[in-house]
Amino acid sequence: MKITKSAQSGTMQSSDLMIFLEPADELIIEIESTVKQQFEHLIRAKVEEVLTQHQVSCGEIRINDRGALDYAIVARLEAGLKRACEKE
Amino acid sequence: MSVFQLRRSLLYVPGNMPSMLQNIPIFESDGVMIDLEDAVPLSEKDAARILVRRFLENYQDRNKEIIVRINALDTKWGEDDLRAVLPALPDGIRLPKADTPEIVETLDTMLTEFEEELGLEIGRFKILPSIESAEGVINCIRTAKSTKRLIGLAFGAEDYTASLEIERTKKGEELFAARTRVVWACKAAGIQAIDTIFADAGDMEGLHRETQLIKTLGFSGKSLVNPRQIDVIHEVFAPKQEDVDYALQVVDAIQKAREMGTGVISLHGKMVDAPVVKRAVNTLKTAQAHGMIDIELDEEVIYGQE
Repeated sequence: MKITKSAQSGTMQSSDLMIFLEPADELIIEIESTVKQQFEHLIRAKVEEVLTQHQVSCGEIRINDRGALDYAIVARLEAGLKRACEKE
Repeated sequence: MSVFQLRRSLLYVPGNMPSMLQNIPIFESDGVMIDLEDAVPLSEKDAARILVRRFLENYQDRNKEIIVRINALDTKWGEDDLRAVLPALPDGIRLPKADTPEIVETLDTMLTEFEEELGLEIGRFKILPSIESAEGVINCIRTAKSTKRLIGLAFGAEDYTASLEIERTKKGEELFAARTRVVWACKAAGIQAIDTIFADAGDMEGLHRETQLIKTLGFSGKSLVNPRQIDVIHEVFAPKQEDVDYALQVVDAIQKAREMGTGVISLHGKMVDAPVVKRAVNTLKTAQAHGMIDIELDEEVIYGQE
């Protein structure tokens, strides 16, 4: 999959996260989180896992996490990718 | 799952809210209805079904019945909802706007196709149709017999009153005829009748009154919007100890009567015959489902031998 346009997914409610996706020439992942200190590496690992599964190798992905569990991170990223990779 | 599944309380959980989905394991309702329809804005339909699927895949130790309310089949989302959530194995689908038996039959066929595709037993996914319009109420007697997948019919008063262009009141006189017809349809088909939501989550007295009313009419449970409503509903539906004691006496009496070669006997001066026994058995089955008693209900002893 290739990120071809800007898209976003998720919400700013607690236990959720908001993801912003933009086309880019390289892979950039930025993470803001209410639990950044403890969990940033785990969030990043989950995001990378999903990107690899969907064969996404470039794009700018900004995450604003409100304490989401793994299933929600996966779901929001999948929804975001679907929106950002849709054909025009 | 046991043959007689308690469905006193079916709690709606918005499908696009992780904070609510994550609480499903700790809610004490008999079941939940994860909502992809009215609780999800149009712009989030695609994301909500993915979230629900991932949540359900992750929720392995299920401790209550999981029903997903999809969007109606005549919308562009209904079929995609099914495709997204069925692989995560919900117990059933709540079908909005089940105005005719044909609409339920269409879902039945679709579920069979998904079951074949997923390699599941045919009939695994149950259906709970929403009867929520004048047309739905008129057709519900046939709808109740439309497929073996039905666990019941669920009356939806908010949409129903909108279809009648009337206000919904707390007393509910305007719902009486429709509720009665839904109960008839369910009892004739041998399925459960589930009543509508009570929208005012702050009014526990009103909820109690309405639950008492619908129990009297023959409903076996209620949809609800707020977890705080669960206790009130369970309290109303719990069999009273005195009713259970009396039912046990009735069964005992009819067994003695049979030994004496008759089908009717007097208990505390009141006649006990077949319909009384039937009601007593229903009470005992409910009490058993509530864990109040643990007895073997031998059909032959209760109804006698031929």
